[in-house]
Amino acid sequence: MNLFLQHALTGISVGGCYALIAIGYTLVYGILRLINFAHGDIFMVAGYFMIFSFAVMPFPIAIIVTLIATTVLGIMIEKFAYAPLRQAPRMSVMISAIGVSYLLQNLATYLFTALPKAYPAIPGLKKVIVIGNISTSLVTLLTPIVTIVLVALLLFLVNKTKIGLSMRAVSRDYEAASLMGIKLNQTISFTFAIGSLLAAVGSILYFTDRMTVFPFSGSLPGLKCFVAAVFGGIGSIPGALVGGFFIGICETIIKAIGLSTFSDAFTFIVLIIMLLIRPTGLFGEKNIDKV
Amino acid sequence: MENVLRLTDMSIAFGGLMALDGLNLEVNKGEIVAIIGPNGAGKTTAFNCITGIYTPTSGNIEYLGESIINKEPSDITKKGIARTFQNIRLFKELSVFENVLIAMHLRYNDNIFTSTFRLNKKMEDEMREETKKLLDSQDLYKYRNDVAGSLPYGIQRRLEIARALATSPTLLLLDEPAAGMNPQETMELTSYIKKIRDEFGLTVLLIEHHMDLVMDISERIYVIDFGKLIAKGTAEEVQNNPKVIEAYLGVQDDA
Amino acid sequence: MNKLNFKEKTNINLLMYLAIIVVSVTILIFLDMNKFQYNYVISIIEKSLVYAVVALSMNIVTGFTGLFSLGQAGFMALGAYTTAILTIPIASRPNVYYMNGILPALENAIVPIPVALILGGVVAGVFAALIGIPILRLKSDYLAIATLGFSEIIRAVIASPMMDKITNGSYGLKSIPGFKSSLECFAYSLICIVIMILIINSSTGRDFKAVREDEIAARAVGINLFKTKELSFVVSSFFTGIGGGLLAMFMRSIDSKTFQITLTYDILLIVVLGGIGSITGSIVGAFFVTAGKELLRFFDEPLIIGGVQIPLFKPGFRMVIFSILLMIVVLFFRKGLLGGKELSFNKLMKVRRKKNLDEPGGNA
Repeated sequence: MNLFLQHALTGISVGGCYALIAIGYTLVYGILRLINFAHGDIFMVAGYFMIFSFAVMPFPIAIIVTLIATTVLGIMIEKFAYAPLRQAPRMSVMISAIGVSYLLQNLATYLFTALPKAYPAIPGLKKVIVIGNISTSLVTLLTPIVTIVLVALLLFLVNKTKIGLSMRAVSRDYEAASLMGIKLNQTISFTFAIGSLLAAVGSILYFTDRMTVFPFSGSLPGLKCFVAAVFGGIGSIPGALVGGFFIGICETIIKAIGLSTFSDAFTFIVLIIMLLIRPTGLFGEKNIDKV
Repeated sequence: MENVLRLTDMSIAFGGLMALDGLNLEVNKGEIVAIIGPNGAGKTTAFNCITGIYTPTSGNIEYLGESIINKEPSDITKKGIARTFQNIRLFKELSVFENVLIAMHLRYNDNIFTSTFRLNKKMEDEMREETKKLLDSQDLYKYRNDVAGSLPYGIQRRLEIARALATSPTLLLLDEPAAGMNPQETMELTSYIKKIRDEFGLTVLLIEHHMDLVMDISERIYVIDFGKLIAKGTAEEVQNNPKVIEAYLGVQDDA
Repeated sequence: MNKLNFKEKTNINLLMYLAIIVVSVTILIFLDMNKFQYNYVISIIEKSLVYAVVALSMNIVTGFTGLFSLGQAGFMALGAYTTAILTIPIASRPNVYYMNGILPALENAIVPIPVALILGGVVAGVFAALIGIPILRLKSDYLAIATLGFSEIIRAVIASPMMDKITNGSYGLKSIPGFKSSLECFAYSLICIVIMILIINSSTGRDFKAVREDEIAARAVGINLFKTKELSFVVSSFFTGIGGGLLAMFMRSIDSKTFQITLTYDILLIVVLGGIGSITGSIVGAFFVTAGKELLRFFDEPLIIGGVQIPLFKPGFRMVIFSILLMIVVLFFRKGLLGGKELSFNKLMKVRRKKNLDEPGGNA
């Protein structure tokens, strides 16, 4: 029983990180119909930002610097790699996204070598907490709480504010929205900013737990989080949350029962099964292609 | 008169919206029939149901006495229903010749092995010969090597019709064939449609906004508004129907 | 008159291609005879040929059918492992599987190399058919992520302890028979490339292009969308599998790490630089990228001029250069370095003839 709770807690924690990343995929796909292959790598770069800023400044400032730098990176990528391809075929944009991913990975290898770098221990976060018979670290407990608070804030932003309204309008109908005077580029930049910011938060929580960063540490979590977004219904924020937790928990269980080699494979089996029985995901809406 | 197409109580809903509500429609052999109605009335939706792109929520579609509901669009084309699209859908980056040649494929039975190792040479030669003939007859042969997307709008429309003819249809569905044409071009199109009807032994169902063309060409007219059939009959009957005038013609000046 | 013209052009092209092949064979024979001197060049050529096969196979599905598949590494792994398992000399097997032993059924299973390569292709094709069934009915966006995922699954399965007796788990396979000469590699690659070109230019290939251009219009002219996509995906994966087998022969030892996502990205780089939907682009691109990576190797070495170390030069620099090149091509030369055109001799000839005869309307 204790063991079960222990694993459940780990699963929920991993799931929280996944959910934060998955939201980035869901928002961008919702607006641009683009699988942002570079999102996982933005998450990885955020890890390096933290390592380097932590080395030279006190941790609260380092965290803020990491969040800001990652957000700026997300906006820049959109401006340089996606915005010029607005009128291009969808495949070109996807290739551009892969190109950015490839560039970030290679750049990280070049600048920081392929060897894992130690992630700084943020004071307090690794503190061991004992509840009954379960011992866990603070970050494990904190992750799901942070995730849920951030998602609540995001839902408020999307549903109750003017910029949120623009985001919803653009994701409904791109052209009509711009005809109605919505500033397309601004809205898209904002979407990337939010996605990257959440990825940065996810990155701090995730790497604090994993303790190392290397140039490819974003690629697999990135793919998994995209699957989480598809599972929950791409375009849906609550869907990404549920999907993230689902994948995180299942993965932990699979590892716990000794099938570690298949924990990554499992994610993609989930994807294929979901696409078979409900391609729109748990909370997705059915889209009708106009002829 | 032999019946070619019959829609019985066909309805389709998207979400809560009834795009088509109990549509009944009949087309007989050799006829030219028009569907008219204001924008968003559900005309193109009807075409999409007939060609299998959408599946109606209820009702039936019969083609030559056989239900074609739930059939693959490609199978429906093979049975003899060809169509054009409101916003022209050509294989834009391919040549005019290839556009028509691809439409010839469905009548020839080859597979990846015969085609890869050129065991279908006879078939391929025949297809090319027929494509040439068809392009010739449609006065498009001179454009054969041009990339379809680079052609002037009017030629693209004609190419799309030629491509539909290449599937050797019995029933041809034309979705706003005169869209974007001036009166002169529209007049030419009117006689062109009659010509291909006679030449290829077609039955034609068309959607059109140009009233001149519709009144001139169609033996019967169906009027749809908000997904419902509000009138049907000859041009004259429809023109004088008060419901139609209210829904449709009343808005427009009698052109 | 026109038909005659068409035939004449085809013949010129055919002759020129035959000439290229003859020249290549001559060069390869020369290199083979001086193997020790040109070992390095030979290995670059062989690797380029293998990559050309895989790049062209990716182009069938991505460039000619418009489906974005990212499963190359996975399908290559299937082909490579199938080929390796069926061709490692029986005498070497106890040595290869020294840790976990070999499945008794495979102990003596050996087939000639061409058969093994084809079987590798078949295994890849069968797997493609299976994942194609659920995925290809959906919007093609999901294909990219599903194939990428599939590729990772294959890797995980190959490395898993359960497969120890077949794939030798994480130890990988070695003692795979290599190419006896570069001509052998050339012959296999050439056969694959020629067949793929024949497919692309056949009526089946035209169906692929129709689907790429406009799915709805393709259905309206009687093309079964799902069947055509599935066919293209399976054919492409079949040749990717063979390409994987060829890679195994080139490398002589493989393990699951050989087939990471980066391998797919490397192939994508070739396809994009050469031009999506260009046959000659993929082939030229394969040589360009493979040779380029080797030539730029010095970028990865520390460079010291006059006792001062130039800071940019260190490991990983050439991959950064290639990434930037990829981004430049994606953003500014969307049709690839060859501009989406095929290199063809009658086109070169035509430029001349046009000047002479001023022949109108002939941009085939």
